[in-house]
Amino acid sequence: MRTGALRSLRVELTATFVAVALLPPVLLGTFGLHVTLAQLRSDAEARSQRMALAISGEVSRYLESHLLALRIVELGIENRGRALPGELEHQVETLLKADPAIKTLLVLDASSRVTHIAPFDGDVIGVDLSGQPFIRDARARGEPTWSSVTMSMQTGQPVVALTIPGPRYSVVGYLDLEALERIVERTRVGEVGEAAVFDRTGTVLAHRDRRMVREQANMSDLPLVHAALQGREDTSDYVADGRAFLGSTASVRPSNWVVLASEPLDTALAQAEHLKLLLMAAFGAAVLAAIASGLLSARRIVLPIESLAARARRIEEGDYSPAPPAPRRASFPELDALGRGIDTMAVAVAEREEALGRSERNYRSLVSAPVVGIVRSQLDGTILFANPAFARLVGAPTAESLLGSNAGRFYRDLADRERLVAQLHRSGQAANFEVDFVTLRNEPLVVLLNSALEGSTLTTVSVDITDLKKAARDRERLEQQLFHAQKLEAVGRLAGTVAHDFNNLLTAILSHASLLGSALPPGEAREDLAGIVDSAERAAQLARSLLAYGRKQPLQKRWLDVREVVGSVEPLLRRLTGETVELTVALPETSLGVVADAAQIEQVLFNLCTNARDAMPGGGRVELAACAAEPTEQQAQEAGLPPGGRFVRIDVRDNGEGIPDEVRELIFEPFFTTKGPGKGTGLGLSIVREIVEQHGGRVAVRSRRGGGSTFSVYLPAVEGSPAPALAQVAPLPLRGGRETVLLADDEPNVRRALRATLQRAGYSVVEAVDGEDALRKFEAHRDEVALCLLDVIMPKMNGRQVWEAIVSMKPGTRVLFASGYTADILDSHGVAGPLPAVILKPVAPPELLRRVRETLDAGA
Amino acid sequence: MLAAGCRPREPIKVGFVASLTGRHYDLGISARNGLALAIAQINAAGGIDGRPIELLVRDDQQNADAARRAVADLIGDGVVAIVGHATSAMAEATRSLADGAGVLMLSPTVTSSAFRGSHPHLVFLSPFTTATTKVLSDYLARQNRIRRVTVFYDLSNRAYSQAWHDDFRQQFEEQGGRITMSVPFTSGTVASYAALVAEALKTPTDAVMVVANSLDSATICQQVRKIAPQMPILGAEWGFTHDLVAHAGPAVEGALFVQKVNVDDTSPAFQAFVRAYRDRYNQPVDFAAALSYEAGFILAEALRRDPRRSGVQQALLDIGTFHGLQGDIHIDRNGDVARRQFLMAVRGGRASVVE
Repeated sequence: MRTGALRSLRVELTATFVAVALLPPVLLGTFGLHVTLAQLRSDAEARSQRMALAISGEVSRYLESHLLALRIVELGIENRGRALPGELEHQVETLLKADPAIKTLLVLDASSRVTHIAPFDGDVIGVDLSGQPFIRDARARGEPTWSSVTMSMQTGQPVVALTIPGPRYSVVGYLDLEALERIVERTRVGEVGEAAVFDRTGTVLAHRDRRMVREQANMSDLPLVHAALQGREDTSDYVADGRAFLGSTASVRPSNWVVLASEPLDTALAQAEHLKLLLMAAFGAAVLAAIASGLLSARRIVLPIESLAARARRIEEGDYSPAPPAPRRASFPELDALGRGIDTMAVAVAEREEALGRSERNYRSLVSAPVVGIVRSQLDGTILFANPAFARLVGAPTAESLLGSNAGRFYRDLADRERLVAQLHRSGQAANFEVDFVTLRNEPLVVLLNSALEGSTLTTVSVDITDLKKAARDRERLEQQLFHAQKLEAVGRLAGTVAHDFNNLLTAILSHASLLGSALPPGEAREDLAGIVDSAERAAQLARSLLAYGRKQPLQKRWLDVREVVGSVEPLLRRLTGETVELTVALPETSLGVVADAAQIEQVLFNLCTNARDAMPGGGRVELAACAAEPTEQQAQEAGLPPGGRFVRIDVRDNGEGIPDEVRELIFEPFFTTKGPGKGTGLGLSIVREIVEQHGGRVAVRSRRGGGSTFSVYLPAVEGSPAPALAQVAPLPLRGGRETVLLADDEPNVRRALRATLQRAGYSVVEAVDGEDALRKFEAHRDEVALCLLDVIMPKMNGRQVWEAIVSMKPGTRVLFASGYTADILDSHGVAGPLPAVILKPVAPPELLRRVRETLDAGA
Repeated sequence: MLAAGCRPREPIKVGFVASLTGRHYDLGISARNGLALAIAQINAAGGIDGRPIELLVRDDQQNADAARRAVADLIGDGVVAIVGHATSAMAEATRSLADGAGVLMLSPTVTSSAFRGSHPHLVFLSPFTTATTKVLSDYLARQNRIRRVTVFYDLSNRAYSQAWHDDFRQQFEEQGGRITMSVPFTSGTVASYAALVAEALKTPTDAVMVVANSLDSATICQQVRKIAPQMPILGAEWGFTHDLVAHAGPAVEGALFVQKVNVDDTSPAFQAFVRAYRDRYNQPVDFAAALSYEAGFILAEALRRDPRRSGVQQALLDIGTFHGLQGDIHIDRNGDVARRQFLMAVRGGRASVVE
């Protein structure tokens, strides 16, 4: 294609150069040839014409000479009248001898009867010839008349007759045509030309082809002859027997015959032909020279262009490097400029191509990014294009497999698509249409569509927002959970506060009851009092449980027996699980020692049992069991425990619905819950795990659908014995003292109960109603006071501030704090930092006295 | 096949043979002219399905050897048909050649009843002499003035003249007439026609009948007139061309003869032919020209059906009936023809129809 175009350029240029080079000589040559040929032809025509006239003249003279001879005869006959017969015969015979062309001579009388004939023929004498047209003509015209060709009655040969009409006699001479033929034969028109003579009908009288004469051929169909017979002499070309001739006609006046002189056109114009050949040769040479020079010039132009074309080809093939410098002689400034232009263009093209490539890559990465699905479809839904992301979105194996299918199949509700199309018809585009899709694998999807309509094609960008929607739902749930947790926290605070007040009351009740009990003699009243103390102690237990429920229990790890912990929370657990759930507790005979915060362990039990209860909304059974355990390797692996350890295991088993497999991994996540709003925090199991893991243990769960669940808590087993001070309710032999104790508590009941307990044990008590009062009382009794028993939270100054002031006044003063609050509540009241000794309210008198004595003795 | 459309179609060659020179020239030249005019018109109108007709002309010189050479030439040149001869003698001389080559020979003017029944490749356009002489003898019988006739007849065309003589005699005698003298002669060999006629007229007769070419007829009539200026003259169509009147002049005034063509016919078709002929040849038509002109169109019609030498005759006979210049021409399966004939007389130097 390219080479073809180049070749045609070369041909074009060559042709143009040749044309330019040839035009002047061609024009001049053509003009010259035309003029010369016209002249040569004119010469040939003139020659032909001259020849025709010459022949015609000769024929005329020939006829005139016979006319003269016959006229003499006629005049002689007329003048002599009826001369001697012999005399006339003699004269006629003499004439025939003198003019051998006259074959027969007749003398007719006035009635056209033959009176004489020479040579003599007796048959003819007396014959009436008035029927002969030429004799009638001659007589009618009264002048010599030549006949057309006719037959001699004597010889049966074609002849022409000359009739000289006279008043009394007419003379008729028959001339044979041989004489005419001899004239014609003598004549040469040009080299090979010829002449012919025709009579008034166009019948041949003389022709080189004698047959034509003998057979009386008629050539009036030749236009030249035809015209001449009409009196129009002419010169022109004609064709006879397939050959072209140049002919001229001339009339033979005496007889109205026609002479045609002709010669073959090629010989007539031989000179012209030679000239033409010469000119053709010269022209051919000029053409060759022009072509050669045209080729050279074209080559000089085309070569640099071809090199430019090659350069363009290289650019087309992606080679943008600059062209090698062209040879100096082969180029032109314009083409050099063009070359430089192409180089510049190549750079521009390269840049543009790169930009285009970038754009293309951008576009491609946009379209094929696995981010948004892009679909182009017709209004009826037929898919024209889909990108891979869309294919993935709808679960198709490839984007190509979607072509031609209908996009409507992905809409869960086709009305959505109709809405979209209606919107497109209204405004040309549709933004953020949220639509439910169904994938080819029948999975639901939520998709956000943005669509634009161009003509009858719509382009739709689809984003899968299923996860977003789920996240939004999750966030909503979290918010609800947070709200729930905050509510719980408020409840916890309330519970803590109530427990504090409750503890103060119980402290007073227990103290007074204990004091009263020791004052009463054994008997019925004392047993009643024991009932009060027992109830108060259970109330204290309940308060602790409340605090545990609010998770406000201060961390106090110590060795304890799990059986005791279980036993202590069992009543609360029974209340918790309710009447529809049967709680069974199975504990071993031997102790199950661990180092733990009892309150935390209680919370673990509490949470697990709450969970078990909630798993059985219609009621059921919860089995709580504890035992020493040495888990097998498999059990250890399942629970994530170090192999070979000894553990105390607490199992909480329900016979509820079981935990679905898919949520088993999630149940320990914070705020994961399967319960309805207000039914749980979602923190239960996560707290369990955190507590257990803080104690170096693990939680394992086994569950099967419909077969209930078992949560197993493994705690490292520790050999040991319980702390001696824990929960000694029974009266012990207590040691009192004589020291003075500064007692500061803002609760009058508590203050009075504590004062009574201390005074009964022998102590002197200085009472203070708040922090400032305590400081004043200490200043007043600084020398007597051996121990300060300070409530932590008091109006005006809290326990810590008071103590710090006292220590600054009298370093080494012993102090014992009493508090109904947990550690975090103490913190929030500005009682930061560890306190040296704390006794938790409610406190029973024995416990109080023991701690007071310990504190006083510790300093000794 | 492909090249055929690119070069001129190959012409169909048709031969013409007749006597064009010598004392028998006039029928031949007129017949040639008539045929050439017809072919020129046919070719101008597209020829035979696009193929032109090429006319090859030969002179039989009224000589049997020359005639055979001419016909052999034409056959050798590949003509598909030959128009000719002008005289029965020549047709007699070459019929075996035509039969041998299977070439149709269509003769406008040959009429000898001697051909009746045995002319496989000869087709005639003029009825046999029997029909012609009957027209004349019937007329004479009706007039009942001429009972005796002296007959001059040329033996150089004996096939014709003898048949004419014999046919006429048979019919004339059946009607009570009598040939008082039969004068055979041979054209070109007669030393003195005056002596021949004077000798013949010694026997009393009511009329003279001339069966010869036009020159000989003219000469004999002139001699008759010198001896018996009022002697009625009867002629055969052979010699009664327009040249006869020119040559014989008043000698043939009143002469009776039978012709196939009425040259005075003023019908448009015939006048168109007359004009075309005059335009081409500057001469008046005669019966030979007219018959030959018809022959050209008849042959063309047959060639359009089958342009092969082997088939054209059958095609012509299959067509059978043709529209001539002066009425239909019926050619039967034997190649014999039936057409109108005219009894004519020379009046005022012109031939005109008597009946």
